Amino acid sequence: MLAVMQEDLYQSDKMNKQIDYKKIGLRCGIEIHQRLDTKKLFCDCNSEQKEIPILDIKRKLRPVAGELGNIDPAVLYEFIRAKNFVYRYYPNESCLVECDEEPPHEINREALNTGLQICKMLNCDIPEEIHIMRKTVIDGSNTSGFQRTAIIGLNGKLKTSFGNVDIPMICLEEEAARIEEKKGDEIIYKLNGLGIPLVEISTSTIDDPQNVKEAAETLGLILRSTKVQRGIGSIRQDINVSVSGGARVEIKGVQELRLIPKLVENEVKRQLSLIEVKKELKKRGYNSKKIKSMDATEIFAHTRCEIIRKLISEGNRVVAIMVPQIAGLMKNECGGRTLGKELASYVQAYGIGGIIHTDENLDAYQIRKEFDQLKEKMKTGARDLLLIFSGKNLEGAKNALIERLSILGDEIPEETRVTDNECSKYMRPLPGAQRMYPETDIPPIRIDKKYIESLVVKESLVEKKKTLEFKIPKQLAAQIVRSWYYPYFEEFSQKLSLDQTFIANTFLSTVKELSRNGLDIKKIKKEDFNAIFEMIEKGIISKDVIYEALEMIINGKTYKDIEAIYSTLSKNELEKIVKEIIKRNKGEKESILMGMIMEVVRGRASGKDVNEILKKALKVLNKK
Amino acid sequence: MFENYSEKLQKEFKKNGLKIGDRVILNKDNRIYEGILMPKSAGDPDSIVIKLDSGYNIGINDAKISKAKEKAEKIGYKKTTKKMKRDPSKPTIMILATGGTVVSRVDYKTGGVIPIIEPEDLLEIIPELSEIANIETRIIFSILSENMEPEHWIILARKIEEIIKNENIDGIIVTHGTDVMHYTSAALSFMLQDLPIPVLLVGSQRSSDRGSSDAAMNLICAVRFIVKTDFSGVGICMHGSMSDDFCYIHNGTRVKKMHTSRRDTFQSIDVLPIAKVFYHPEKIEFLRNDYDKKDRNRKVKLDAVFDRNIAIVKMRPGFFYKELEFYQNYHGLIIEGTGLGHAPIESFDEFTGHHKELLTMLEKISKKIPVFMTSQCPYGRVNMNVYSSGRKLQKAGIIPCYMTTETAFVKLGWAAGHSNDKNEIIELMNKNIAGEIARSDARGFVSK
Repeated sequence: MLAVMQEDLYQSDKMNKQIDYKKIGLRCGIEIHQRLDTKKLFCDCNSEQKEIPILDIKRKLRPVAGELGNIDPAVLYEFIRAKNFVYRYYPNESCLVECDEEPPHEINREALNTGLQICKMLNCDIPEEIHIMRKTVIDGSNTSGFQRTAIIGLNGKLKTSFGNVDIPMICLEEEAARIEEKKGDEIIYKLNGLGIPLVEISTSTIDDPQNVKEAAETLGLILRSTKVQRGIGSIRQDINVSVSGGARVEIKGVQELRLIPKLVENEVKRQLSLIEVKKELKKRGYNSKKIKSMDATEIFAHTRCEIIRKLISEGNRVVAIMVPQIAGLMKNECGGRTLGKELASYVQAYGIGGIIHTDENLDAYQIRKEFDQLKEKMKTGARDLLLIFSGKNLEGAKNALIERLSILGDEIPEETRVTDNECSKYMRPLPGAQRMYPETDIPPIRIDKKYIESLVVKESLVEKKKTLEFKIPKQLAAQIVRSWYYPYFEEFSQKLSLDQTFIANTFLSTVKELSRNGLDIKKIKKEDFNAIFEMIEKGIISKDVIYEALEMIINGKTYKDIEAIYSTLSKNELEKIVKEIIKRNKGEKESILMGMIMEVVRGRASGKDVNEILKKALKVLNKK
Repeated sequence: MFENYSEKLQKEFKKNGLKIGDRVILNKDNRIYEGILMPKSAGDPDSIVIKLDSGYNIGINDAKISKAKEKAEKIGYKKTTKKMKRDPSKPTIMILATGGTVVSRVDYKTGGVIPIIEPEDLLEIIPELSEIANIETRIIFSILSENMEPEHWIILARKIEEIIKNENIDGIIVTHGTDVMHYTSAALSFMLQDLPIPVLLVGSQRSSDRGSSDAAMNLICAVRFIVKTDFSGVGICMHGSMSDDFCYIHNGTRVKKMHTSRRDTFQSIDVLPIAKVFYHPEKIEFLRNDYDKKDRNRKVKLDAVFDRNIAIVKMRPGFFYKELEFYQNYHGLIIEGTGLGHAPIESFDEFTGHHKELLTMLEKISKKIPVFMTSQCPYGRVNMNVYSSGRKLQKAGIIPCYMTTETAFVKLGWAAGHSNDKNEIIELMNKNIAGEIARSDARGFVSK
């Protein structure tokens, strides 16, 4: 029944050749949000997020006057009814300020100083008066209905290997509350993260994805030279991408910088393929006004398709949409996934699982019979596409998908997307002009020349990396400088006389190995590293047992325990053991004897020392 | 227009023919900033504030300013022109504004917060109100509540009486700053007796330009309570908890502002609130039934007088009797004592020797004018029989007063406005007019 028209299938081979980014007018930039390692921005709460919640506060936010213009009361009512926010309160990490029950305190000076240090390192102009603004946000992630944010630096420059990247502005702002759970009409937010200071850095456009990666890495190093938080969730990176004829799209949640070139490539491919779809639809005479939709629950009431049957049994309705002229295009390559999957993400943003459409094998879903009925009902021709989906929030999902389909033949929409492995998927429309007005509870902050000059900017990690490359292998230098352990490495390298390569390797390879073997490396504190390094420095234990020693720390053993098992044997003790083993294994080869001795000695002596003593002992023996 | 900018800058602006809202270019050591010239409300007078295209404001010093080529932004917002007509099938509620910005909107261009006064604009922000009742608004005066004077209470009471007499309405809401709302509610409770319809005071703790403001819910609950119940009298309608779940209707004479910033700052003292008005889903739960009932045929009794020569004096360790000298010629005094109603009038050693002077002074004063004792404990009833200190004070003429300090002050001023006769004043004070004297309900003490 369904004929896939071969000639309509778009040839995706075109996409596989190397993309000439200049030719297609690629513009991309990065936006980084970095959490600072200080108390919260406008109160004295901790930013550590270690506590357990103790109470819930329920709120409803209302749209702000000036936002909605002439509101339809029904729309407003629906808005308010639907938005039940629950705010979870964490002792020591939230107070009345996070509950929006107390005005903000004066700005955290340590956070401000850290932000200004970053501005200095990026050669920014710093205004004489910093004005805190309120940016209206009513999705519930800020209890007050707005986010407090301020520009602290303008017109900065980032130096990279490919030239200078402009940094138009640097902002200091509050972190939003994170969602704990969505339960029906309720969204539960956690107040422990709300108010943590964030530095936001955005770059102007860069025209090569590899350069974007380098810019992101260098910015990361500069940030880590100051008092920033480390660990998962402490930094968020978003990239924005556009091509000529396409649209500016923001991709949020770039976790690994090495994925940037691939993400950009896929987004470029997606936009280019959508431009081709646009052209194809024009050829076919696509008329989006002919899109039809209906409630198809009755038709699918007794389907053998399990997915749909289950959804209906849970009380959900089924929506069917007939889209004229686009049959056959759903399998088109669209930035690392199919066009069908790309369009499905518009309903997935509303919590719907996915769509089933006529470009697929309906027999595999056991749903052909119902689709045939539906096709008749909706007068679907061979060139038309029929799709269905089911779940909660059906109205919102339907409207979003139909809106997207309506412009499929006209334009690529500007939108906010989120990473999905090496691709991205639709998240929500790009926010309009930001609604901002002054935070009048906090007077403007005076920044004079003396104050800026007094801010100490230490050597940045970029510079430290260059210096370190003279002392340890280049690759190692690059890695240790980016590692969370860098401050420890720096301190121990200065304090102790141990080989820096060894120290770096301990933090990079040994710790990684422990973690890979399922051990909890968080249990090793700085004092523990210090103690063990000192033991090695003093010769109490050999550096060959660094893994074992750290493992013992994780297992709760003391330094004395480590010493008891692994203390380096004295020369006499070692000689005694060697002589004993030689005696018991007369005539054995040296290499076998080495192995035996090393097994007995078990880390309490270095291979080098054992070898030396063994060779000497054998020499003496042979002389006899 | 250029308030809070330095004289030097004001001259500079005028020289360049600039107005607030003009698009300008700032040149500082060849660094260029372009944006909209903003009004200045705080900060360094020598810092020029501009709004950048990103929406952010910054302040720049020592820059040359000039007009930019592009056109200026229009400052100010368009008001709706729709006029409201009364729907005869719905009750009508009059909202009287006394100042502050209980309902307001933001002008994003300047960042100014503009109070919403016209009912058409109010209903645009809170359209739920129009489903329940016809809303009309009046501005009575426009002052920040901490600046209120007793004369304002008299004006307000007279205005309310006039409105009740001449307009066909079902209830009155007075929007009011929260700082002294409990003083005003007490004043209205005494100055307007036998109210045929309810008068509810409503405020907000979070400014109404923000999405989290408590203003809308407080107003909605007040309107619902007026329309859907038979309550009459003066009350305060504010949040009952930190959540947006319900508002309390408090008796206007036994309520206090207990927290500087929390939404649920108002709490009934030693009594239960009159009712709980739930927000979503709608529900009204009465906690008491000893209130006056609505009666459109009843005539309100206006008794709006006040003698402002009344003071509140707070006792404390180290209080020196001479501090009372100023009040000797006043017409009434409220002593806010410690604990059950005590003052440092007894001597034990060389440091407390001067205490007997206080007792002498109090005795002297109370011969001429009525002196009442309340407690600085927010909750609890005074009792001056339990300890010798209290008994001595009573003997000296101090009268125990079973109201909150604020209500006692308002009532004494009102009572003294009727007569100069000490005993007449005392009699009026001891008469329970609007529930200001009450039994201590065990559920009336809130310890969170």
